[in-house]
Amino acid sequence: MPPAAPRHAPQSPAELARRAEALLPLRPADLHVLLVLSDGPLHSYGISKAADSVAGRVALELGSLYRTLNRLRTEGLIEPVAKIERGPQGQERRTWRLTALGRAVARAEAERLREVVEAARTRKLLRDPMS
Amino acid sequence: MSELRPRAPHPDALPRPRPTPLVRLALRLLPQRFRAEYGAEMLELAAERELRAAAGGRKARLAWRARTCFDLIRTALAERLASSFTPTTPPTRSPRPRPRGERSMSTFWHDFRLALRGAWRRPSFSLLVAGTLALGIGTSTAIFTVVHGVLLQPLPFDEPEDLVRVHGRFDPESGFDFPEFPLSVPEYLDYRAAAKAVESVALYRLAGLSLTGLEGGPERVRGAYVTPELQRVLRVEPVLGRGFLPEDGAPEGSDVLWISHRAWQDRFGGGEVLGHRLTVDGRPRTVVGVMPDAFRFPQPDTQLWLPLRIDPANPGSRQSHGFRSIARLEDGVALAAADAEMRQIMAAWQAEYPDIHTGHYLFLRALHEDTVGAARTPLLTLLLASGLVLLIVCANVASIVLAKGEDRGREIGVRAALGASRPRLVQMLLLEGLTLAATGGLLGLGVARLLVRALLALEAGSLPRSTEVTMSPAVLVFALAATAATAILFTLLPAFQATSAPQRKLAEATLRGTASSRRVLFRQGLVAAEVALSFLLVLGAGLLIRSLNELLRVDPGFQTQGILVAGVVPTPTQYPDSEQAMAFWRELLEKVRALPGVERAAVSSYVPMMQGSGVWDFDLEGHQARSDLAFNAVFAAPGEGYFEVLGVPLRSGRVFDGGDRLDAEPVAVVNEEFVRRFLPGVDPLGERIRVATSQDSPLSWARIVGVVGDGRGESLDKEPMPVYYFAHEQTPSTIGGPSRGLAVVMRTTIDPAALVAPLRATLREIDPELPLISPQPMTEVLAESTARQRFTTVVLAVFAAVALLLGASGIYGVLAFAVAQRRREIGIRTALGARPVELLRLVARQGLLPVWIGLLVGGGASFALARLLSGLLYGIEPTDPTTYALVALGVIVVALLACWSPAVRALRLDPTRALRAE
Repeated sequence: MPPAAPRHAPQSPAELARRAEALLPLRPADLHVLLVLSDGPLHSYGISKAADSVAGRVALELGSLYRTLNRLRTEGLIEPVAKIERGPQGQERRTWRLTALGRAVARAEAERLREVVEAARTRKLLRDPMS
Repeated sequence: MSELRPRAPHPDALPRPRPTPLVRLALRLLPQRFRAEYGAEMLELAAERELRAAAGGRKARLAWRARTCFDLIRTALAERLASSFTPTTPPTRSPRPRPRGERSMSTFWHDFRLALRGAWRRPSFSLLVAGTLALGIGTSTAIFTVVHGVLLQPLPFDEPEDLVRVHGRFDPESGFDFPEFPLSVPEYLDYRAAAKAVESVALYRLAGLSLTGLEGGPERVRGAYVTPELQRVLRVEPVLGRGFLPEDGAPEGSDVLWISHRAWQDRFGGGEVLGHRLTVDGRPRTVVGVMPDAFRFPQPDTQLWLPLRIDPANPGSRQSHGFRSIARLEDGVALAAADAEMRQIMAAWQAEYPDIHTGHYLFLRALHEDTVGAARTPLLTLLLASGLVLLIVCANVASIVLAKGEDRGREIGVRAALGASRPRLVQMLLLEGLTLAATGGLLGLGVARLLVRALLALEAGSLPRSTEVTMSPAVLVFALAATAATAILFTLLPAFQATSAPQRKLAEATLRGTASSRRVLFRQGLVAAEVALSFLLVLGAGLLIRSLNELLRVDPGFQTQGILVAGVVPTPTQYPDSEQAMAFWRELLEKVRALPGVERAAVSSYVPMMQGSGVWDFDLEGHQARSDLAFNAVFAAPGEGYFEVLGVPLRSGRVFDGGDRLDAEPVAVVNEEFVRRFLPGVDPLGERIRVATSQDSPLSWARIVGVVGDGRGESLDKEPMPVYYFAHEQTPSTIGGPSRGLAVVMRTTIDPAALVAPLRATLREIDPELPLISPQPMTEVLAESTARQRFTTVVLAVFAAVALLLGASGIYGVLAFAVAQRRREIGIRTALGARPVELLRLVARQGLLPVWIGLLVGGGASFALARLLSGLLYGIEPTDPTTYALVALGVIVVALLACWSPAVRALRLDPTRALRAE
C-alpha cells in the first residue's frame, strides 16, 4: 500500500477531479455552504445569512449549519482560516474558506446539476428560459 | 437573582446576549467532541439569530426557538449516530460500503450502546420497568423452581420411570371403602410369584425407631423395615459396606442395619462405622452399610433401614394389611401391560379366595404419580397464577413504555426522517426492551431466590420432594426464556405502534403535542387485559380464602387450645409383659399430673390428626354385618380422663373412669358416627362389642357404656370416621396385650410448648432409654393438617395483591395521561360552565371503560379457572356468587381509587392556563 498523501497537499487537476467525482452527489446543504464560500472566506454567521438569501429554499438552522460545516471540514472541502475575526461583541469567530478540493467538488456538483437540468428540459419538464 | 450578582465588566462593555435556556439545553445534547469544537461559536450565533428573530415579534421568536431546538436535537442525534459509525481518525468517507454482515453487527452494537445509554439517562423510568419486570420474572421463576423440583425433575433413582407402587384397594362391594390400602405378606408373596411384567418387587414398612445408648440421650428417628429385594428394585447399593443378603430377610436373620449418609456424617463424623453396634428399639444391631447421600426412601429423612423378615412357610394372615410395596417393571414393559397382567392375577385370586378378594384387589401406580400426584393441582394452579402475574407485568410495562413512546415520538420521527428503516427502528426499540428485561431478569433471579426460600418455609412439610427443590440449570433456562418472552411481549407491540408512520407522528408531536387516539385505545386495551387477569387472580385467591375460612370454621370435635401431645413407645424388649407396661404408664401419668401447669393428663393409643392405631374389624353381639358394610372402624384405647382433656362431648351414658380396671367388666365407648352406621335405630348402651380375630381364642366382649361426639380424625376436610374406644387399663383382656405406642395428652394452664422440657425430664427420670416423640401443642397439629391449603392460599393471595396493585397502577397511568391529553377539552368545558359532576363523569367514564371490559372478559374466563380450582376448595362452590360479587366490587373500588387522583386533577384544572398552554 502506498503511503497516504497529505490531505491538503497540492494535487493535479486530474487528481482533484477524480476525488471530487467520488464525493458526488452532494447534499443540498453542503452545496449551499460551498456556494456561499465560493465568493470568499466567511464566518459562520455570514454563511447562515448568505445561505438564507441564496435561491433554493434550503434553510440552514443552527445545528444543521454546524453539522454541515463539520462534515465539509472532515471531508477536506473547507478549512478554517488561520486569522481569527472578532464579532460585534468582541467574541472570537472562525472564518471558513474553500479548499482546492472543495472548489472542485462545487464545480463538479454544479456541472452535474446542469446535466440534470438539461435532462429535465429535454423531457419537457422545464420550459426553456429563452423561448 | 442573577442581577444581584456582581459581574466582571466585559472589555467591550456591551452586554453579551444569551440564547434562551431551552436552546442552551438543546445544545447540550450534542456530542462532547462536537460541543468542544463548535459549542462557543454556536452559542454566539444562536444569540445573534435570536435577536434577529425577536425583531419579527414574539411569534417569530417562538417559532425560531422551536425550529432551532428541533434542529439541534436532530443534529445531536445524527451526530451521535455518525460518531458511532465512523472511526474518529482518519475522518474520510469510507470508499465502499462495508459487507452486509459487518454492518448489521455494527448497527447492533451501536443500538445496544444506545439502549444502555438511554436506560442510564432515564433512571426512574428504567428502574420502574426493571423493577416491575423483576417482580413478574421473580415470582414465576420461584414457582417454576418449586414445580420443577417437585413435579418435573425425574425421581432420584436409576430409570425411575419403570418404578411402580403396589397398593391394595377395598371397593364398597367388599363391605369396606378404602381406595388405597397396605398389603399383607401373603398377598405380596403371591404377587411376586405370579407377576412376569415386573422385574422385582419389594415389601417395606415405615417405622419410628428408638435409638438408645447415645450420648445426647435417647432419640426417635425415622426408619424402615425393607425386604432385601429393595436394592434390586431401586438399583441402589450402599456406598460403604454391603447390601442386605437374602438370609438377612429370613426368619432367623442376623441383626443388621443400614444407616443414611447424613446419619453417618452426623453421628460418626464420616469415620469408621461398619461393624459398629446401635441399640434400636432396645436391641443391639450391627451397621453393615451406609447408603448414598441422594438415597431418600421411603421418606426424605429416613435414617435407618432394617431387614424385613418374612417366613414364606408361615407368612401370617392374608388379611393382616400393614405393608407397602414397590416394584420395577421389566425392561420394555409398559405400565398398561403390567396393569393387564395384574387384573388377570386378581381374577385368579378372586376365584381362589372369594371371601377375601371380592371387591378387594391390588393395583399399580407409577411411583412419580404416587409421590407427587396430590401436589400437582395446587402447584400447577400456582404456576398458572404466576404466569398471569407475569402477563399483567408485561401489560403494565408495555403501558409504561407506550406512555414513554409518546415522548419519544419526536425522536423516532427524527430517526425515520434521517433514513432509519422501520426494521431498524424496531430493532432499536427491541434492544432497549431487552436491556431493561435483562436487568429485570437478573433482579428477578434474586427475587426468585428469596421467594423460593419463603415458599419452602411456608410449605411446612405439605409438599413432597421439597428437599429436592433447587435453582437448577433448568430454572435458569426458564428465567432466561421468561425474560426474553417478556421483552418481546412488552416491546414488540409498542415498537410497532411507535414506528408506524413516524413522520406523521413527528408532525403531530411537533404541532399539537398530542397522542393519537389509537394509542390511547391500545393502552386502554392493555388496562382491560390487566383488569381481566387481576380479576381472575383475585377471584382465585378469594375462593381459596373463603374455602380455608370454611375449613378453619369446621368443628374438629375436640379442643385444641392449651393442649400438649407427645408420643411414648415402651418397647417390648424393655417391658415384656402387660403388667410392667401398665405400671410404666401409671407412673408416667402420676408424675405428669403433678407437673406444675398441668391441669389434667391422660394416655391414649389414638389422638385425632396425630396418632392412630388403625382400623380394626369387630363383632357386635347379636348383630350380623351386612354384605356391603363390614364391621370395621377406627380402634382407640384411651385411658381415664382422655375425653375430658380433649373436651370430646359426651352424648349419653358415661366415659371411662378409675373403676374400669383389668379386674372389672370390660367396657367400651363409641362415637355417634359408629351408632349411625352400625347400630341404627338401636340403643347402643348395653350392647357388647369385641375385636374380631382370626385366632382361635376369642378376645373378651366389652359392654358399650357411653356415646361421645364425632371428631375429625385425619384432617379437617375429611368427614368423621366411626370410632370405638376400649379402656386402656383393660386392653390386656380386650385386645390381648397392652397398647405399645401411646400418646400422652395434657391440658395445661400455661403455654403448652413450655411443658415440653419438664415432660422430657419426667420421662427420662422414669426410663432414660425412652425418647419423647414429637411433642407438639394441639394447635400446631391442627395447623399442620391444613398446611397445604394454607400454602396455596397464602401464595395465591400474595399474587392477587400484586396483580391488583399493578392493575391499579395501569388504570392510574392511562387515566392520568388521558387527563393530561384532554387538558384543553376539559379547560373549554370548564370555561363553558361544565359542572364538576359532569367532569368527574367524563374522566370516570374513560377510566372505568377498560375496567368494565376487563371484568366482563375476566368473568367469562373465570369459569375455566373455577374448574381447575374445584379440587382445591372445601365447603364452597367454585361458582360461589358471593365471592364473585365481592371480588368484582373490590376490583371496581380499587379502580375508582386509581381514578381518584387524575379526576381531582381534572377538576382543579384552571381553564385559562389550560387553554393558554395550547
